[in-house]
Amino acid sequence: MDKKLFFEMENNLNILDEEIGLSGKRIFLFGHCSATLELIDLLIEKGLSVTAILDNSDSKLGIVYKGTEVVKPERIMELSGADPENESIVLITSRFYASMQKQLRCLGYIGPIRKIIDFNTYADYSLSEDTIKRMTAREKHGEELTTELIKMHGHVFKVFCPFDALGDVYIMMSYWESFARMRGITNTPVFCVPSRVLSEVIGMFGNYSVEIYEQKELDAMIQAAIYTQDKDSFIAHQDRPYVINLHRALYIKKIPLELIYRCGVFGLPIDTVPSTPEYGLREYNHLNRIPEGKSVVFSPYAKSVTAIDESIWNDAVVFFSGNGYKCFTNVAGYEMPLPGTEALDVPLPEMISVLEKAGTFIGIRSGLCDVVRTAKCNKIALYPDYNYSDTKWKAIDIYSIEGFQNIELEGEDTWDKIEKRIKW
Amino acid sequence: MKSFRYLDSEPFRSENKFYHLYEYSDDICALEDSPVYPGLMNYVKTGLLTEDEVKKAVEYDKNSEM
Repeated sequence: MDKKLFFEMENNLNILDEEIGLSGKRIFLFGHCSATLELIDLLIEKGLSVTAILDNSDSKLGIVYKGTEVVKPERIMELSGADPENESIVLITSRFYASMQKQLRCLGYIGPIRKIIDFNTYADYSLSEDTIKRMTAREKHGEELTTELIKMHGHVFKVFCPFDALGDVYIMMSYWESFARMRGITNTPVFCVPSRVLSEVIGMFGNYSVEIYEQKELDAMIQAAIYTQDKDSFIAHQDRPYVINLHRALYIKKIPLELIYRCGVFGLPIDTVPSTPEYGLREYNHLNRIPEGKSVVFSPYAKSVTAIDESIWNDAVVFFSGNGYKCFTNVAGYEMPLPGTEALDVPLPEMISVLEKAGTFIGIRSGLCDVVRTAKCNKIALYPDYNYSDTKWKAIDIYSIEGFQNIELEGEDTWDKIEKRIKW
Repeated sequence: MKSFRYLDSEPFRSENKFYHLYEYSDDICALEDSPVYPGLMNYVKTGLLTEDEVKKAVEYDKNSEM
């Protein structure tokens, strides 16, 4: 979850706690996902415990996170106590809040159900006059923003990247030129993104124009493109917003993310070769800090992925340090380096030079792994054991990257066991 | 159960203009061939899915797993 959304969730939780007092209540969270797990961490910090995570997916039943088990939603009546209205509460982080609320009410649950975060500015499950008026104003605002963009750049082709995700934007850019050729797009593209770091990724592929917008403003522009069916624009994402339903194919077939973008998003032939970033790569200014071929760069952090136990990272650092390697942790913002390592805060276009000097990269599977996929070094991606979205496929089934060793963590894995599965 | 409705059929037609204005229901899966955003038919065009598989994907009911 990005920082802004996390702070919004934390703020909403504090307001809710002040309003109704969560202490002593049986707290349920609906939907096992990374946002839910982050909410559990927040609740634990506040000294609160979660009774259960409710989830409809059979493949998630029995998963336990910090003492909280995933159970079927049907068990809410049994678990919510004799007076659910006063003794319990269900908190929802998922964007499917409306259908979850409906399901709980159909099950007979009468306790409070609260949305703790609003991921989805596109949705309001109502056809009331007020809602239509508000959404019409939002769309009009989107059109105004688009008009301003055109005034700034002229008659351009607008490419919308709705979601702040490094990996998605990297993969999108690797197919952009092929797509533009196939479509006969001759207007200069302008990429509209929700964060500065995405402009760095785009810059690795060429000297493209990029405009950065606040998420809600970007959402409004995207809605305007949908409403007006603006043929001089394209929404280049595999999952958002709601009009893009590519994910439904995953209910019946396993399609890796690379093919989701190549064939699903862009409609390119299956044998299309992706571009690689060559234009905007730079050498890190302090490469002399990194012993050549005898260094390891760890990347233990990822905003939308279940964390890997810190003991695994710590043991990995001890292992490599004991074998004469210098260890670094890739950090950004407030992230701290792993104990026994030095912090590396490297601009994305310089990461490849760092890894090729170091010789080894070990990271939790995140968007950063996509950004460094062309680095000529030993690259290992670690996959926590979780399902991709609400599908039956594991994360490794969808996110495996060519050129990496893709290692899925198993049960009570330790670094010793993981190390034996790596081909050195 | 999620409903599968063609964009041009009634009663969806009268709500159609709202479908592109905002997500007024999470109970709709529309099959479109718009140049502005990707759709499931791209998988048919590229050979990853057959039309029959797209229909199965659209009609898939996750609640039936319960």
